[in-house]
Amino acid sequence: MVGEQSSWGIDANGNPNECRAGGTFGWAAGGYDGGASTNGRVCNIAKITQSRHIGTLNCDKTNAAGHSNQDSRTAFRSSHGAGAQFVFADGAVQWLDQSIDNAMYRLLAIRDSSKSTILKVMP
Amino acid sequence: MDRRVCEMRAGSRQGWLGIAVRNGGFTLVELLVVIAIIGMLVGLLLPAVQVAREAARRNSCSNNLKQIGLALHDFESRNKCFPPGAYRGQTAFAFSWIAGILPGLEAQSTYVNLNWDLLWTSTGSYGVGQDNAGTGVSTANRDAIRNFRSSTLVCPSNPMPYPTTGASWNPHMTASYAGVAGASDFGFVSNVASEGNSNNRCPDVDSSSQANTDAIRCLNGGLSFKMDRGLPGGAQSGLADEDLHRRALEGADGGRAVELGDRCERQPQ
Repeated sequence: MVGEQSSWGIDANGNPNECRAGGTFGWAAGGYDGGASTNGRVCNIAKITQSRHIGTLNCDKTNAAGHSNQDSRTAFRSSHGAGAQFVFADGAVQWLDQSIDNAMYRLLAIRDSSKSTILKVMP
Repeated sequence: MDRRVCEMRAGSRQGWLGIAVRNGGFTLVELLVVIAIIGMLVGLLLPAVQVAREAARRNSCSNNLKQIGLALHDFESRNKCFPPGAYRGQTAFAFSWIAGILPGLEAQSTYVNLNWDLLWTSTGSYGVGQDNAGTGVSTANRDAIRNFRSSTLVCPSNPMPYPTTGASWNPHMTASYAGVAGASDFGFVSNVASEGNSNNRCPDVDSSSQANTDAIRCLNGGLSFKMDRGLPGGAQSGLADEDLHRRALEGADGGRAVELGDRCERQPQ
């Protein structure tokens, strides 16, 4: 349900950058429409995607439409090595290594993956 | 004068078993050798100590996650569902899932100061009360959260600033833990495309039909689901929530979107 983001991301120039889903808005910030079309964001949650694997170095917070500040597009990462710790819905805390299969990683992120149509597109 | 007396006058005497013992202390070279040996030993030991310290920090980090998991289950037992990943504000940030589980993080005193009555209004001033520019729309909750510090929400290995820099207008802490908000771009082309939709910031919503007036529906992004029916694949599969968009695709699945309780979209109990 919850994973850790306890290390810097690395930007294109090799510099550390803020890659936590809380960003600079802190622990209490949730979603924000933004009013204007470009500024909306959701903090403190992160979506697991193909390009946001565990420990993905560059946290590009720009979405497909070029809108920046998409805090939910950060990757899980840790400073304990290649991987990150997660707490699962049953309360267990487990270490997911960076070498985990990406498809499996994303299936873990889906609550009802056993019934999901996603299985049908599994290779 | 015999030879032994001569030696004693020169600074040595005969000790136990006839071994010569000096009275004059250590020479500088002897001291330097001892210091060098000690230095080498410390040098050998130090990496091991550092590794042990990092291992301890990693354990502490894991314990934090356990505490957060417990707090989430505490929330579930009070509200019959897990908290939403993010409440959604129209012109300002609403609360995150962390705000709802504060009582489980030994932060009851902060929790009672949060003003949940400032839920969605037409002006959107609810929750944290700050917009992207850093100007507060509502300061009702800002004062309640800005001085909050919790070691449970920060991984000890975290080298990043705590509290965050660059937010001098509201220097509150940033958590090292993020809720898992499902997966995307996994065979759902329409969902990927909708990430380009400017209204799709709440990750778990099919925003093309999501008007601002209905924005509270977006609250279920992230974590909000019920334990009893929500985990057909077993609890292990429940690392995160499914998103509403995908639920809609699974229409035969018994109206999964409906099971998300109203109670968790509003003030937690």
